Amino acid sequence: MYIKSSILFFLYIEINLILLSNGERTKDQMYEHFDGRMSCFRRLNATHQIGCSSKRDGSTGIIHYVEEQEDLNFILKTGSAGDYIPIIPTVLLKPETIKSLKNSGKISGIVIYNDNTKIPKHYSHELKCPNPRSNIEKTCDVPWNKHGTGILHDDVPFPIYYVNNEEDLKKIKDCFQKFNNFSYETQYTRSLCSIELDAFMHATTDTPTCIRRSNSKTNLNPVKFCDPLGGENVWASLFPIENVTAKNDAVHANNKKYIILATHLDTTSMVHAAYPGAVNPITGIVTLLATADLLKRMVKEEVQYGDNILFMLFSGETYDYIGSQRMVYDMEKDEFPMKIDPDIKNPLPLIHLDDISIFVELDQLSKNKQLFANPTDSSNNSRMKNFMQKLQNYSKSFATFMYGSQLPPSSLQSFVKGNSNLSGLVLANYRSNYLNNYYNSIYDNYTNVDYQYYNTTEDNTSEIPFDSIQYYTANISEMLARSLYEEVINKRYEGDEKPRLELIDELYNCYLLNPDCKVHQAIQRKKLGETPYNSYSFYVGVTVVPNLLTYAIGLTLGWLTGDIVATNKTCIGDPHIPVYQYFNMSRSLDNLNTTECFRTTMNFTEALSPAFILPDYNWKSNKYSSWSESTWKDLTVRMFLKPSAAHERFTIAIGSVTFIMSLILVYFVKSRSHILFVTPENCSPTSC
Amino acid sequence: MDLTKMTNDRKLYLCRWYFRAGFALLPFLWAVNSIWFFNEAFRKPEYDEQKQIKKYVIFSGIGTIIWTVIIVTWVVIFQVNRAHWGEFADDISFIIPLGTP
Amino acid sequence: MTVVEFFGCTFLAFGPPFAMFIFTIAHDPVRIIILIAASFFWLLSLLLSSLWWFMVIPLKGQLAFGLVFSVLFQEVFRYLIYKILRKAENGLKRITDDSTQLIENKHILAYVSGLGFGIISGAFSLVNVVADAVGPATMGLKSGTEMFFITSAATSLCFILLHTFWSVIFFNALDNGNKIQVAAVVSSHLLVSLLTLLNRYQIYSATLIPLYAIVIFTMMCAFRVAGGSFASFKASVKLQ
Repeated sequence: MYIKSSILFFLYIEINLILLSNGERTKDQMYEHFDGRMSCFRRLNATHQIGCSSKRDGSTGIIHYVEEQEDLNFILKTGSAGDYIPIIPTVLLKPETIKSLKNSGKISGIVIYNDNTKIPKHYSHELKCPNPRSNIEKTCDVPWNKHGTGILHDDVPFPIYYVNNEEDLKKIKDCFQKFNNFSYETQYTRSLCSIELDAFMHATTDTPTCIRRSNSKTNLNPVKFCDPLGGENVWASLFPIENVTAKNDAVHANNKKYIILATHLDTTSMVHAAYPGAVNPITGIVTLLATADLLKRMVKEEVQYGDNILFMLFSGETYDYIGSQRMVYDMEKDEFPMKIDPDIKNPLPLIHLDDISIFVELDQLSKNKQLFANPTDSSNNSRMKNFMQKLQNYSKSFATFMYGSQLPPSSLQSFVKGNSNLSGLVLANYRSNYLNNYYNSIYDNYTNVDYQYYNTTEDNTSEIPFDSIQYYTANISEMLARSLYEEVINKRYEGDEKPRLELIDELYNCYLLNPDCKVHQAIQRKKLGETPYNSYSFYVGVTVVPNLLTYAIGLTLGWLTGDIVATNKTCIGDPHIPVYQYFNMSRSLDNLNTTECFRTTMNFTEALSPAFILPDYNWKSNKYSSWSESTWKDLTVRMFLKPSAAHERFTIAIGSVTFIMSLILVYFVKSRSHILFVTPENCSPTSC
Repeated sequence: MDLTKMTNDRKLYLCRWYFRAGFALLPFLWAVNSIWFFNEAFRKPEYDEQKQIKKYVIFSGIGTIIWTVIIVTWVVIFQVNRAHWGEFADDISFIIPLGTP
Repeated sequence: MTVVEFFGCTFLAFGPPFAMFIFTIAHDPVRIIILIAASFFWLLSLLLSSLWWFMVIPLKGQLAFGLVFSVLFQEVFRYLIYKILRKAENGLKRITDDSTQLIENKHILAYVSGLGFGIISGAFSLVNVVADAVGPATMGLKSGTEMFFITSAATSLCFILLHTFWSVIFFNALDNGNKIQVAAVVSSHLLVSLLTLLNRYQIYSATLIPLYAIVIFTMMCAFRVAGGSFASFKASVKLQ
């Protein structure tokens, strides 16, 4: 109200800037802005585009709030006022719905919301078999993700936005009730509550096209159309990898064999900035970190060991195994752990695929009475059998250990493709169908793993119940750590180191609830909670934007497997001894304020698909992941009142009629002015 | 330049040079020539040089039309086939539109 | 404001002044100069009003206060341009092609400067609304109604016309030393401006109807002042 009179006031007082800075603006009265980041966006691979895009200046539609399928059918049938944007509960986001909306021609976008009273029983838009192009043969005979709808891999011609905020949802609902939700037959005569979704994607068609266009030399206005997906892999060794003194030996390594304990770092979902990823990948990551921590403490006193253990966390595994494909590529190209550099006096020995003795991958590990080891085809040797026997023995206390029949989609697939003789297994809580009903979706959150934060200290973990996810993860990590200990030290572990429940509790807290948790404070990564969503998330992201979460997890791994050194005053690594990296971090969870210098074996390697670095890569070959993400200018959402066509016609009619009438009238007055206005020559103004 | 204040052979000279310069792939010059000298060629009372001016104006006009046809045809072919031609089309584009195949 | 609404409002507010400009001003450069000079004087009054508003900090929140002073400033500047035009009359005589008419009929100068006042004030009132409101929406989501834009345009038009008529009456009154008419102009300007304050209650008819009633009344006064009468009106209509 104030603004109206103030606008008329502008007739008289022009202090626009001052008033604008402390008053409300007309614009603010007309638009309700929402945080538009949680929009679906476009990704591309070698042959397709998937995801959504709005029109160039945003897609606008009339709001229709939908609670049941009938509401949606109703508006498709009776809607009379142009394009609609239905606000649908997550349950209704199904392939059938999308198809019918596509075909109706009345829909310019979708907004989805979470209805707490109707949480879907299963909700996964991933394919039934993730990464079908990159798995070894026959993997996809099994519907691993049996509830998967595959919408994530559809090319949706309109934008999709997720309101995850009760307050915003209420505003939308109220606006709908006030302006739209009555006498539908005459909707076209009213001004209606509408919403504009702007998520215009720059890239189209496929990755080769957009990369080519981004590098086009003739383009006068060079734009980047897309960025390759990718990030960084994290790895660390249990025992420092021995330096090779003579340069020439580097290629031949030192005949050491390695056991790899691996998991992946990423998940995905339909909309940007909502990647909770509780079961996948957080259970795997926490289990790996807890195992690394326990193993490190177990081998503290040991000097003699057989195989070394490498902990590896791969990025971008959701998108055709970007991280593991790159790792295999690096190993084949003699570039892992690092390229041979003549300047480095003590290079690290190269590690090749042949040097891997056992590959243990941790997949989804939420609570289940059964634990499955899905081995590779070449695991039929005595060492593997022996190892799996050990796992079985140590799992007796908490789960039934069983063998799966087939290798599920996993990072191990890339390694088997590189070396079909690899012995390895994927440890997971499923045999051939995921137990996780919310695989790669917005519902894979802390409730999906039944997590509750207890905020305990080392001496007081009794609050944590035995049937909690914390205990389950602790049990698995103990099983793994004891079995791996026996593999590398060749004797039974007799010490009394146990998994640290408070650490596991804290780690889950970090990844599920609070980015500014104690662990992240300990590794000196503060204020992660304030960083923009896209740089701190379990989505792989693009290589040009560093993923802060990957760094945080890497540092956590370094912190757990590192040693405190007192001698290194500056805590800076020597470039000639690349085996160690030094970091200042807190002494322990209970002692965050005491900083020590940690010497770690943790390192990052690039997780960018080889497809983007090979100069003449054949995109059609499907050998490597080709996923890229379209660029966009803005993801914005705003709600407003759209004038009805009738009102618009009324305005233009009044305007035009006034204009034409005044032309006629003024012409008339002008041409008759000598008659209308009598001004006799002798008549002075005073006497008239 | 004001044509009304110009001598007739100066006009002819100008018109001729505009016509000749148009052969340097300058269709707009022809278009300008044909419009600018239209009155001189067809609507002025006759004078000696008019016949030749008329000739140049007509030829410039024909050239303009041919060029227009060629350009319009090319624009249509290019717009229709741009997505289909793929790499070739991108290579000959100076501006690649966002968000279109 | 959608594109259609934009054109509707622009035609409504600026159609009549555009027609007046085309048929009565555009053919004579001197009139154009006077129009622009008048606009400039209105801008000066605006500047002064804003300075005043800026300085008197405690009353910044009170719209009515700023408004009253703004009206007074505008009237002062109307007086100033009157003075200047009368001073410049001799100079104008020399440069204009149409001097006989312009000088003999003093109302023309008044009309032109009034239109200049009106156009610039109308532009300032509406441009602020239009510039801030481009996009697919109309008013009424959080407050206001969808009639907001069209009422703003109508109000702007009203002020453009009023300024023109006021100047005619005002100049004439000063020529004749008729203090009552001067007072009438100032007070009706005040009244009309205060009426717009009612817009905050969103009863647009409550402002628009009295506003246009005043416009018609002022127009008739101006018509009479400029030498028109019912008889001359009848005569002009009959001629058709």
